[in-house]
Amino acid sequence: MTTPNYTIEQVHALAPDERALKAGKSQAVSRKWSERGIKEAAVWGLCKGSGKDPYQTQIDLIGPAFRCSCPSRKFPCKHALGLLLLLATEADQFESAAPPHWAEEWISKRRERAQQPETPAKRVADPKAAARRAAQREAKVERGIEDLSVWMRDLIRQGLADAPNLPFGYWDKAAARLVDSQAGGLARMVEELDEIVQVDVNWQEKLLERLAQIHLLICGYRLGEPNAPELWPDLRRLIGWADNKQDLLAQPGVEDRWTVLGQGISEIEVGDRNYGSAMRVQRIWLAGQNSRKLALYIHFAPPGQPLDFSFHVGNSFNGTAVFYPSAFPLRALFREPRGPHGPASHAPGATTILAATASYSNAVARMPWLDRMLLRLGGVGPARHEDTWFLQDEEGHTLPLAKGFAQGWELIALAGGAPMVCCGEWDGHEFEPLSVLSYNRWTDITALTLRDHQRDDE
Amino acid sequence: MTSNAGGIESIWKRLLTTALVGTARQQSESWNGTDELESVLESIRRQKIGDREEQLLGAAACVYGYRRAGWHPAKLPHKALPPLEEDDLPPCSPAAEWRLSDSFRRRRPGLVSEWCVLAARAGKRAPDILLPKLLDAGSKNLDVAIEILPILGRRGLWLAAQNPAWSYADMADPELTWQTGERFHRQLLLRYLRAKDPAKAREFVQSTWKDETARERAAQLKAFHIGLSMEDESLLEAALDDRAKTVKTAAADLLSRLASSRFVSRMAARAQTILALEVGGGLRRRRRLSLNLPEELDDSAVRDGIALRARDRGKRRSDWAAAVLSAAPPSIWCQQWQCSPEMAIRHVTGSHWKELILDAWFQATLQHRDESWAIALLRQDSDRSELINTISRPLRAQLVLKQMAGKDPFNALSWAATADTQWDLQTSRAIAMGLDRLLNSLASSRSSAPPQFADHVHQLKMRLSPAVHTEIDRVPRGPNFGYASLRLEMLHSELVNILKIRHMMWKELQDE
Repeated sequence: MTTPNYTIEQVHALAPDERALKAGKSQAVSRKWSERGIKEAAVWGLCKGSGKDPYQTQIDLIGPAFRCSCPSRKFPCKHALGLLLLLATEADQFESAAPPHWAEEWISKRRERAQQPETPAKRVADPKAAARRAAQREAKVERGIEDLSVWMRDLIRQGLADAPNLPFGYWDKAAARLVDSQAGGLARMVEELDEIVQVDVNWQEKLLERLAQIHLLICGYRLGEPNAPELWPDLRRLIGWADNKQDLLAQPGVEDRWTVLGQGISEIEVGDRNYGSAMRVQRIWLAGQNSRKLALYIHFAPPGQPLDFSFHVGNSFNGTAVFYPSAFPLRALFREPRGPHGPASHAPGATTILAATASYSNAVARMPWLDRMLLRLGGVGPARHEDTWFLQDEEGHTLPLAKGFAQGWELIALAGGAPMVCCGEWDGHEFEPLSVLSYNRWTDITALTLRDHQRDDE
Repeated sequence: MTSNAGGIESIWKRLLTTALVGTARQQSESWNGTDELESVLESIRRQKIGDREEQLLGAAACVYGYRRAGWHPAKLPHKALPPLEEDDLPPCSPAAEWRLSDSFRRRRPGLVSEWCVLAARAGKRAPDILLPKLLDAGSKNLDVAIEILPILGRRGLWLAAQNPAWSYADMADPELTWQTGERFHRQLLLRYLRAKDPAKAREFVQSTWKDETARERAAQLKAFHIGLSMEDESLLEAALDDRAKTVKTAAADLLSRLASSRFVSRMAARAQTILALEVGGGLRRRRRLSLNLPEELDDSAVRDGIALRARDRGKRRSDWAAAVLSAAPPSIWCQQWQCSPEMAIRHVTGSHWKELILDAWFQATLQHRDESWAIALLRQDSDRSELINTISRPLRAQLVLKQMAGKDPFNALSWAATADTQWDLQTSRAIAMGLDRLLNSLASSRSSAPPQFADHVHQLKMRLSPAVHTEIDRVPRGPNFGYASLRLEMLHSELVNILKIRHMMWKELQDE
């Protein structure tokens, strides 16, 4: 069984903060470790610490998961980071043997748990009370939507031209009311309006587009489930109902060999506007080799928490994707355990620009609130006209690259004049390249920019 | 779709105008569209779904969705880039690739530069994805450009050809570049050629010498430091007659490095008229140096740039004397007085002009790279650490080691740090152990380090052989946990850190 290999940068990303990483680096010295071993995905080591007995450090590369006998509250602790760094730099120094008894127990328990089906959802204690709570929430959301509708109509009556001059907190208050009405999804959409007005050059158009989208959402929801059965799960989710992961995972899934095609990372503010910090949203896009289906796995990393590095761009694995119910199923969860990763030789479903944008049109037509989708473009090359970068395929069709995308020359260097495969996120206006497959080599563009933005930790 | 594209755009514009002005101020709306869109919009209006505001939002939602789903990629004439031939050099390992990108990210030009040198030695090419960064770095700095040229490979050269800002990397047609290239490109070509074929480079310079600006001529002479030989003498001798002072000084500077040049013998002759060893009276017949200051400069001395050399310091006769002495090879004194450099230096110590003469000899030794004089001068004044670079490698290692063990290890450290090349493993180890002792004794005592100590430790990061990081991983901790000890600790960790990084880099780029 092949195990995931961690590169130094991936280990860096796992560290909860810069200090922990620095401490981890100080542990990544061979002589501090009296024993180091690896068996399949299980890694263990004995690290000399300040105490009498050495610390017992364990890592399960699948996950990854960590365990250490040290008293640190950091997670993963410096010993685990150090051990993982050593594995990334000098894997040959790890003895390949059966784990010692202290390491054996934890890892075998983890494997057993992974074999078992997900634990069934907690039994609902009181179905009647649950139903009552659900009804209460629906009524609350209903009122919130009425409020929002009145608020939007006011906005349109007064005209949008004045939007940038609206008093401070105007949008936030509307969003806060929606949070109180337990319509978190709508609240986020209203918060975004503020950002558009403040930041976007083309805010007039964008603002009307978003308001129209919200209006469409309200109209759809008012139709009710019987009149909009296909869109119903989307409507509920967009307004703020969360899906139960356990229930979801119990649904039938799509078994396939999934290729990781790219990852996009964006940040959303959490907490107080002034003191808040950013939560990172990691969007991992995959495609099934047989089904050709596109799947989106989303990982939320709250401040101080690591990104998910268990998906490697350009690798594929056997697994089962369970799609969230939707008029255009895209978002998915993967059943654990996933099969081992192996390099992928091609990007399933890569097409011309025309075909790819047509598939986006199709998706938008079925699920009008879809914002971005991965396009898999085959046979494209980067090109430049004055200061704008775009991709062009052999038919001559072009796709403009995102304005903030600064790696145009890197794309040219990778392509070397030959047609390449480029996967990226398309929002109907701009294309953000996430990965490139050229000369049989995958490049994770996001990982590259992640590197550039990391703070100097020395 | 395309037939009513104009129609839909105008509907969207009208919707947007109404929304911006506000329905309160707009009396009637006409969102007439065409085809199927019109019928949808009509039905929104006719069925009176909601109030006017809701009708507007509904129509906007329809048109927006319609536009979004109907977006069509623009078609431009297909302009394929010329295809790249197969890569000629083998790629480096992923670990080495990561190392280079990390060095860029941490803005460590020293590491980037060492990476390039090591990769070139191993015959590897730069990672594709980092080619733009390397080419950008090279476009601003000739030294960097020279370092990246050997690792660009076919792909790098191909890429450079796509961006006018990187055209400097093209060395394929030297004639053409020399005739029509941009300033930076030509300077790079000159340096590149001087290293490979100095005669060819000289021919190029001669071919256009008359048409170049003074600034350009002076810049071109700078490249002659590479591969300098007696064959360059006639060109340099001619440059002494140049109208521009910068060109004259550059030529004189180069000529003084050519021991058998006419310029040097002229200087030697002048020097001998200035400095004389007199045998004094008395029983011990002590010999003393006397300095005869020149009365004025003759034409030939002016031509050789003595006034220019002295200009920075003033126009006094003593400055002329200093200028002459610093250009003459120091070995002439040993010949003339039949003595060792040490003895010559001893003669001068009693003189009124001691400082002037020693300074001039110091300059002369640097320029003529005279090893025995360098050793003698270093012994006389251990602060003149630049002299270390005029001493051959085995000998300079011996000197540093001896000094390290002696009474002034700080000086040894400054010599080690000033060296222009990396120390071999054995010497590095001894330096590292000495530094380790110094750091720990500083941490545990009240005495403070000399002011340049920190600078020297920083310089040593790139001078030591990286494997010795293990010799200094003792953290300097003393009883006083004040600011000074904290600084020592930081200095130490930075040094060990860089050495460790370099150690890994060496392993990653080892020649297989």
